[in-house]
Amino acid sequence: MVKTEGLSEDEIERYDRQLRIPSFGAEAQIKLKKSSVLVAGVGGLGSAAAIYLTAAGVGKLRIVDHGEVELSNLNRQILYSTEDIGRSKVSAASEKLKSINPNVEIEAVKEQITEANVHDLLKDVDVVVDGQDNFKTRFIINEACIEDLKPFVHGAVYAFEGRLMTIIPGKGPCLRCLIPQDPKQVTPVPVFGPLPGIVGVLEALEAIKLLTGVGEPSLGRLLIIDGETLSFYSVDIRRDPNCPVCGGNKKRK
Amino acid sequence: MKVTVKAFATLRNVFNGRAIVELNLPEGASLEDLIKRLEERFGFEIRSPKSGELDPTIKILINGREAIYLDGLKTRLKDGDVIAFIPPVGGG
Repeated sequence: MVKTEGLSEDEIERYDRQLRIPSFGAEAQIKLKKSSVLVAGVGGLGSAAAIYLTAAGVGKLRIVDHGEVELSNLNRQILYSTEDIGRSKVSAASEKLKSINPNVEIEAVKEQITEANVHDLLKDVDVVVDGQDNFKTRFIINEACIEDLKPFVHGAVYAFEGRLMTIIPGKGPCLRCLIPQDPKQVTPVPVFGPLPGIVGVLEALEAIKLLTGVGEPSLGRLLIIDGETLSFYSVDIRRDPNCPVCGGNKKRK
Repeated sequence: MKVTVKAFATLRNVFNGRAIVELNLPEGASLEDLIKRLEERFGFEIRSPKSGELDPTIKILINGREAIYLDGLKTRLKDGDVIAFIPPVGGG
């Protein structure tokens, strides 16, 4: 008999299949229920991540995005339907997520993430999930996560390729160790729909592992997914001792 | 000796539309020699236009290990090596 104190009847049935996993079970489910995640951007990556985090039973999701749904989003941003075009992404997303799992609290924030608001957005969350479509905002989030000691699950895509790396402040490389300078930004980025799906779902998986303590996160390891040949590469990434963001020589503000 | 070169993301398709190419190099050729060959033959762009230095955001892996942790540009290549050029990606 599985121990299920702290879970409602709905939750016991809803999460039945994952409660049956010996290394997961009710203990992990209850941890998940008590935790909160910031999904920083609900585009292609954020759609897939938010749907799986919600379905899995995270306690609270804070979704942040300043955009409206556009027709060109719909090849990959699976939170939205054709009739959502023109609507605020976070409001369409929160409706969809609440209908998937009403046990999850959804906080919708229609803002652009900047250096000015990022620390407020990180407040009271346990893990941050990368749903961005540009380097600049990713670096802002990375730096704030290092300062505020929040784990950051980084994901990104380009055409048929995906990337994933989990960042835990003080315990491995950060995004700046991985990408030491601001790269050229291509806009709009070409993206084949399934790739942000794959990466977003892996981000949800990493976030759930971090929140529950189950399994081992992909720390110091960059996963490179090549969808064209269906090859997965794992590259060891070292922490840069001179990293301006997480290195020992960082000048504190 | 023969080496295999793979190019990712924004560099993909650089080898006349392909992401992968096999090259014959003289014995003892270094990573630097390979890059020169790629630049001459395919117009491979992995340097900063200003400084001419290699773009530090592009990871170069030799058999899965980062070249900067081997001998950098001076790393000697050997027959059968797989060299990957991996620019960062920023889409979502």
